Amino acid sequence: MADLPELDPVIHGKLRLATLSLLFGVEVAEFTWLREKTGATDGNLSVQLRTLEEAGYVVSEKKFALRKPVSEYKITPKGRKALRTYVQAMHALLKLADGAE
Amino acid sequence: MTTEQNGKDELLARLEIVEAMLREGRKSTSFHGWAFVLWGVAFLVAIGWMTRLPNGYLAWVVTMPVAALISSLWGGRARDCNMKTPVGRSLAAIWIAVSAALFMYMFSVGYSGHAEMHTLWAAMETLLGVANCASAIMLRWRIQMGVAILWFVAAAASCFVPAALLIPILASVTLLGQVGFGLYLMYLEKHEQKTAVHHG
Repeated sequence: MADLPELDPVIHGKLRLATLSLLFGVEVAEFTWLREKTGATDGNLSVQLRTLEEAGYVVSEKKFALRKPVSEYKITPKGRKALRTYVQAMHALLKLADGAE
Repeated sequence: MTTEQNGKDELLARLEIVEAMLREGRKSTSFHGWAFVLWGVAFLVAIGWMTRLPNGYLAWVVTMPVAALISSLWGGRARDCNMKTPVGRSLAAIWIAVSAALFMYMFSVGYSGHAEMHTLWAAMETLLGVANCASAIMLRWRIQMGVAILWFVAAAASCFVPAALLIPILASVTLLGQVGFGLYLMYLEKHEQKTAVHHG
């Protein structure tokens, strides 16, 4: 029996997956933009971003714009690689599922 | 429904999330239809004023700064400031550089008294062709490449045609390549927003 590819549990959460995918397509994004695009609440998004940061998939930077604090997020090379691997694993699983039918 | 089917649906749903979010991130770089329309209309106003109204020598001096002011005010409002993409930054760089070159060249040549109308309009059309061509290559967009070719053909033609045809050529290409293309972009933008809402 072929080994089943493993799915990275850090990315597997839907909100974390959406956030990392958003960051994959941009250079840098503010917290408010990520919140708007994912439709998540402040609290939930903060928690998921922290998990991604702890895994080394995302880095954040606090800045001030017009004296207001702004959090910017950027995907790391490790995060890019992880998302690519995750998508490849999903395609492999789908292929296996199709073969099993 | 079987467990396998549930699992497959779940995987497909996740892949859909990835694709939708990647699209969302990249989308914001592509649409500036309003800017094309604004500058196209500004060109047409300047051309009309220059050829048909009194004090024609003021036409470009007045309309271009006014268009630049509207562009910066409107652009600041319309821009999605909360994210940046490398492509967006590169496109902005091209248009800023070409606009600066156009301003410098047109004003210097126009007010130095060394203007020769054939080469003046040809240079302006070439620069607009360059900006569209670079943008089309970056975005891999054939339609914009068509616009670039239109400007290049106009530039080449402007070197050869009688002086009476220079303004009609510039006005026609402005109408098609700036205003027409801008309206097309605005239509695309509206269509994309509708699709996003529909799938959201």
